[in-house]
Amino acid sequence: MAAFREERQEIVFPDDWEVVRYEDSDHARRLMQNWRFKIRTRKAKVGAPSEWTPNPLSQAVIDFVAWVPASAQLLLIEIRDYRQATAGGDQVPAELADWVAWKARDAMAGLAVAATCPESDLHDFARRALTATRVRVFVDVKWPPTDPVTANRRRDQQLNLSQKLGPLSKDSFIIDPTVTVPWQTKDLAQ
Amino acid sequence: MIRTLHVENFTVFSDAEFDFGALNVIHGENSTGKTHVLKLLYSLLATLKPAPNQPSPESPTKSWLEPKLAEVLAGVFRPDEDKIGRLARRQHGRSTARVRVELDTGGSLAFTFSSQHDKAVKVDEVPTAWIQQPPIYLPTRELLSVYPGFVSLFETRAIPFDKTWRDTCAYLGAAVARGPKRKEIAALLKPLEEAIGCQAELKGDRFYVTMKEPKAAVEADMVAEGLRKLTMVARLIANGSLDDKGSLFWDEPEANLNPALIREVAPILLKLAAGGVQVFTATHSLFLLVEIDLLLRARGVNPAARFTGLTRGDDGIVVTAGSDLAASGDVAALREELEQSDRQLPSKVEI
Repeated sequence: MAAFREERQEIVFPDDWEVVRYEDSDHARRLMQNWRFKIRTRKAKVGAPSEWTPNPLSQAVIDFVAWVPASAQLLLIEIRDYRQATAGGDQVPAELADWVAWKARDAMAGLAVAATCPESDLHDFARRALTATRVRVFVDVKWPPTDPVTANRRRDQQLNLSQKLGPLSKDSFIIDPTVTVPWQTKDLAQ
Repeated sequence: MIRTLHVENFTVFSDAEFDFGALNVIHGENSTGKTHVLKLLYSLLATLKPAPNQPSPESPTKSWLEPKLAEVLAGVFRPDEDKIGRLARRQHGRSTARVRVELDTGGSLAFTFSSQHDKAVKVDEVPTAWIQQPPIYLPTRELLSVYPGFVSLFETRAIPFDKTWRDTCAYLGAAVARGPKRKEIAALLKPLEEAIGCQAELKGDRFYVTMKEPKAAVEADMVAEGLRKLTMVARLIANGSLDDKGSLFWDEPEANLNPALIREVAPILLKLAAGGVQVFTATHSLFLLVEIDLLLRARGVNPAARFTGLTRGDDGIVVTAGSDLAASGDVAALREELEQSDRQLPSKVEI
């Protein structure tokens, strides 16, 4: 059983999955520290000239990469917890789908690099994972408590995500506590 | 105002009873008879308001109504060779269609026709008075752009449009009202013109849409169809064709409108109904249905509204009605919307 702590939650994945917490890998850290990967994104602000800014998540990577051999699927899983939004925590960003799509793209590029670098700690994992016949992206979201209209929120974000993911959109979903998924999340005591 | 409608063996209906309020919203899948209800009611009211240049008795009579009803029904429904017998429900052997409406202006109108008699209508009950204002029918598309020459073309040539198009074009062409009536009209018109930000002007034989900002008159054909649609309603109010004694039949107001404009339609319908116009609308739009329902909840019971759902049953169409959307039975658009949500947002993910 692969269990991981992600901020205030514990995430438990099925036994037969091979799961990597991507940002904990040397491979991802090296990529993030490499100046060649510190590409800034241009963000247009309403009412102000667009400017080059580091996106708040541009230096972050997808939370989990999972290889499911039984169904030959590669899963890119992002965990977002906005339940503290009203207490000054992260707000649900309008660009959530963009960020996840960038992270998914970066993770795929990172795995492709790892598969060709024998010295990478993800080399073997990446070689197995890239034999996947399906690549799916999941965003597991806990919505702010003051925003109970989760169906509409989820629908909006799902549409955004589908638009951004292109060929990966068919099997990729925004997940929230109303959805049954093969992994379990449990709140941890602070 | 129409209070009730009872139909037997009429088009898709075997036996159906409707009751109406100030605002009447009809929903249902395709081929459940929404437009037929609108067109039937329109035909009856159009018959009960003779044109000013048309010789007519002081009050309705059987002998006057029978040929006129047959003519109007044929013009509105356009059966082959104007055979209104084709409007009787199709079934083995002969069938007799029965229609009865109750009016609050006095009495009721009831008539029958047989599937075997092509053009004969038999009137059984005659209302005591003519109605005061002709009904207005808005088809699914706007008419400002087809207006030039349409009425004379309809009168002189066989063209594939029903009488509602001709009638509404004729009303659109009426000059803008002046005098004491203008004040009543302004109360209905102002909120609508503010919402759409323009008004229609007839120059010669052609409509122009005058924008408020920037102030410019644009040919109606060059304006977005959604805007033309709402401007058409404003024009009918401005020239007094649609007033507090009248009735409006609006088929699928949502057609060609984006959600932002559909949202504008709901308060317009409510304001017209609250202003004394009896409004009938048929819609497929869940967005519009919910919008009307929300506005009605926010305003309480004024205007008195009826939501009517039409669904297919074993023996014709089943009518389910109530004062709110939830009471009007299966909302086909809602069912499809939920089904789409389930497909878009699964409740279980299999890996």
